[in-house]
Amino acid sequence: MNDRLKITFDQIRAEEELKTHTLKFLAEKCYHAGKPKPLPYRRIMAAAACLVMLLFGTSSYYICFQQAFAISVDVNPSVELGINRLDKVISVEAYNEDGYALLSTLDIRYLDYREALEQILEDGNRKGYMTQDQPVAVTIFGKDEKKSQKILEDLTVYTSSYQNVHCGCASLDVVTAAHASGMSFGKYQAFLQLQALEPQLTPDDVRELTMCQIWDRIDTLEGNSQNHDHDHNRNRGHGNKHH
Amino acid sequence: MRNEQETNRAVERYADTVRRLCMIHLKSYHDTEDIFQTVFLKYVLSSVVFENNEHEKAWFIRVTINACRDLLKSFFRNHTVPLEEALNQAADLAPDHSEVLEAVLSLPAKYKDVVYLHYYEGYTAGEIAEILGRNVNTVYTLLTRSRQILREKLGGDANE
Repeated sequence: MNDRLKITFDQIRAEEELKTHTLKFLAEKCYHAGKPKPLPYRRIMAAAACLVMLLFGTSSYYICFQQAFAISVDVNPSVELGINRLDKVISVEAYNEDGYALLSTLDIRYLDYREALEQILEDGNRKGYMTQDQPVAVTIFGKDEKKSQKILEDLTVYTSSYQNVHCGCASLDVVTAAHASGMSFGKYQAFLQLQALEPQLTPDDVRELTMCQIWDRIDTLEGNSQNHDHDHNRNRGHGNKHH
Repeated sequence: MRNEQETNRAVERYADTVRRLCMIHLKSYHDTEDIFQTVFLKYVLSSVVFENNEHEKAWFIRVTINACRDLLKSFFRNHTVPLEEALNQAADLAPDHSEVLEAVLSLPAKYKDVVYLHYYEGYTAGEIAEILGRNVNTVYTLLTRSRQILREKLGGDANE
């Protein structure tokens, strides 16, 4: 029986296929593990999707919430509107009491800048600020000069239906100086004109004056008050003046 | 970790032994493949220093038997091995050998290892006790009992 058992077990041998599969398994598991693994495409795709979302979010934020240019409006209320790249008002700032009063009654945030300007001018009309004697200064300033010029042309046409509205472009340097003095750009321009006639004048002296009062003083000092309507049109501009 | 050459040599040298142990314990070729991968992977990763070939062979036998037991103990597996299924793995055997194999496979699980180790590998009861981690007297008892069963099934003198 011993022999029969021995012979029988001798017949049982590991199949070549079994040995090959085992060696292949061990080679993959132990010896070729250092081989560059196939790229984890799913993870790469997920990371790429996240990156795209991040870029999209950042660019959306940049487009929607970053100020591209600003419009300073001096009726007597002095306000400045921050505008994004989609031409929407994203910030409003008042520079005098009338400005605060105006902003407390008007909700112009996120409106198209033309619509916002129209509401401000209409409000000025209602409150009697906009008369022949009271010029309105609308000044555009931003880093992109081409864009500023385009907006200037746009606004010039748009405000042509209002009387005595002066549109212009300004450089950022002057605007920065205006803000440092605590005035809107239009008022600062008027202050500079008055200061040229009264060198001892400081920003504190005019900060509480209305635009009309400043122009009156200029007219008085220039001594040609009889023709001040014409002079308003000629002198009270902001660089590229359009009427 | 052992190098690829050592592994190739071990597969070539011990594949048949592992295969025979799988034959008496397992019912499917698929399970045998699993055991082969488990046993030889353990070998590759093992840091055991073998004193000689006999030591190495005994290590393979012990690891294979334990791997088979673990596989059979796993929850989703059937603990019993239908004889027909097990025999199908050795379908190419001559009728006489099939009869012997059938007799071995029909033994209760506790006898199979001692029969194989004693009658085929030629281990003594003491050596089998060491490999299986059992008492020598227990091995003697198992050998005696399995001899009786095989004699009943195959006829002749089991001590021949």
